[in-house]
Amino acid sequence: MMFVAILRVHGLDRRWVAWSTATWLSVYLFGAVALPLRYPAELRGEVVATGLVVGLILPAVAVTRLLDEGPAFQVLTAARPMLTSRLGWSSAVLVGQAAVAALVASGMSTTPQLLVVADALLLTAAAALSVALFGSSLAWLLPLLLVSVFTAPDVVPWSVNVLYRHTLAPLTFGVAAVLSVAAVATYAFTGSVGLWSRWRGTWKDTADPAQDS
Amino acid sequence: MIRPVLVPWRRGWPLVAAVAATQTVVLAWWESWVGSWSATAAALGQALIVTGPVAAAVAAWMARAERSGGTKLLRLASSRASHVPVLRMGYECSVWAGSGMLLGVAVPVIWTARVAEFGNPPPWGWVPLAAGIFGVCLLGVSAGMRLHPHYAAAVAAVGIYGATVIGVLAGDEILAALTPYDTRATFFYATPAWVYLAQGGWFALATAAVAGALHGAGRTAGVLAVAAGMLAAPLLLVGYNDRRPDPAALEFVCATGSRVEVCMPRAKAHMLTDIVDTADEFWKLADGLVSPGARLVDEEARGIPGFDAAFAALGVDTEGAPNVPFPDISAVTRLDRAEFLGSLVGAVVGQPPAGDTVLTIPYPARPGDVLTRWFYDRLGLPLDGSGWPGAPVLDERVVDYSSAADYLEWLSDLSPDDRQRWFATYRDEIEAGTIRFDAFR
Repeated sequence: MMFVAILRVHGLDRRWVAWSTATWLSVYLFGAVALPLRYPAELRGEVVATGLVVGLILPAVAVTRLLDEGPAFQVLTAARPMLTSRLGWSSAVLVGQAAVAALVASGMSTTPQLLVVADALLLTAAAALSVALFGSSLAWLLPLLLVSVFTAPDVVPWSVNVLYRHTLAPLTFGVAAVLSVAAVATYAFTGSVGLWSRWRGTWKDTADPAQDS
Repeated sequence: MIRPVLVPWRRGWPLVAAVAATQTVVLAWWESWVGSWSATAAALGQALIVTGPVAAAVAAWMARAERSGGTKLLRLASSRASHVPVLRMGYECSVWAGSGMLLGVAVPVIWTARVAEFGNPPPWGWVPLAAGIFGVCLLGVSAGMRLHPHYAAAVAAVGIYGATVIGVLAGDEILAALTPYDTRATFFYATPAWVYLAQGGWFALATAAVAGALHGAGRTAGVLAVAAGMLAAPLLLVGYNDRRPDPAALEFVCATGSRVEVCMPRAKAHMLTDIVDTADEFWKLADGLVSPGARLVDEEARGIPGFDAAFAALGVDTEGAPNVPFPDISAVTRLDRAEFLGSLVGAVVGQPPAGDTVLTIPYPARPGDVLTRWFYDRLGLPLDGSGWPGAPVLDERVVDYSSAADYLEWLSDLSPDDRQRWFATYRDEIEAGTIRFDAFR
């Protein structure tokens, strides 16, 4: 029962499972839509669909819901140190996400599965870092920023467009690994209140749990 | 304690997000719109593909934060209809984001105004942009009010991207005119004012209907939906034909350089000086391979109604036509010197006919490789394929020039007159790719 209660605190309930499943299913749909990114890379099949990369934001943000720790005032006044449990929990969330991404990618026969897994991990790590830096309600910020910058044509040099180019999948994994380490380390210290929120004191805005349905 | 209803520092974020997104997207590919009004308008429309989701996400986040503050209380205690506070938030966000878009739009508009030699800014082109920003803000605010705070912004952004991309993708069919995004080449077309007005109107009304339906204004939402449908109907009817060729844009303008004359459609006339200078540079170097006094005609508009009349008015004499085609500049409004020259070199130095021999890389230089390398060296083009997308790779990784070093030196040592005579003698062989090293003397 204790274990279930801990999962509940982190937001892992039936509703979350439904949300998460829906987001992964929507990734399949988004994989079918794409805008031209760089001619003639699409013709040669060198890039994944833009819709797929944008769609991967959804499961990335959905899974970081599990990094929630409950009301900020309780976290900030916790009696025990939370460093170790945060390290373990956030690592488990990232590893679990990579595993689910691998499972989903294995169902996509036409797309490069390796890059899909790498992209999913990279965006999830970005979302986790976002939670650690800005708090739970801004989990979408870094993933959306990354995807916007990499999707707008020619903003990032084509030779290092790690989110879209098949051949760069190993590099994508490298970037994802660095981001993951940064996210886990930051989260271990700040938790879901977020560095910015602590500094500004903005966590008080949502201090009343009754309003936070 | 509940903070004041609208927390001041948050208000400006949609503006910041909209400026950043618009500028990033539009300025990153300035070569494809600067100087052409229709292309600039299309580029601003396409910027909405990124600006829209970003603005919606910020709106959703703001709405959520304000809801935790006091909007919910306002809604519950409102003496007016309960959707009024929601609409008010949508208005506020769209004013901020719209101002951001305006700032973002100012740079490309001013830039094109300075460069363009043809056309005017489309007077109603801003209507779909403003309506688009208003609509996505309203949808974002609705998502922020209805969904869990952790998901709202992401769902708003990704959902709007998906919906608009489907609209753009289905652009071959009837949905093309419903969105302001035009991914087709737009240089020689003009969009009628009513299309802009209907696009803006239907999108603003449709999103207001969705927001109304979500926030307890069902009857109003119904009326808005019907009105949106009535505005969308003519757009669905015109579909892919929502624009018409502009005969004035297709007229040819010519300029004569020292060795070559260049003719281009008026819509791209601002590139003429650069192109004449670059073509002259090549004509001077390739004297003998190309005839002096030739006329290069840009035929990228071929196939568009009105092109044939403009082409006939030019009075092209195909007898003395140059042996080089006009390089493809159909996607750009700014000359890429390296790509243009590389294309001209590729046209006069032919590839050898494919034989049975399989080349292992690096392969010993062939006569055509020596000639191409000589041209590239003299024109200052990079050999490593970095000059332009799709540039050939001709450096030591691929071609071994050591066996042909003498021929390259011989070619470099020729005086311009000797070179002209040599080029004229072997012109056909060089063009066909059948020239041999025996000729290099």
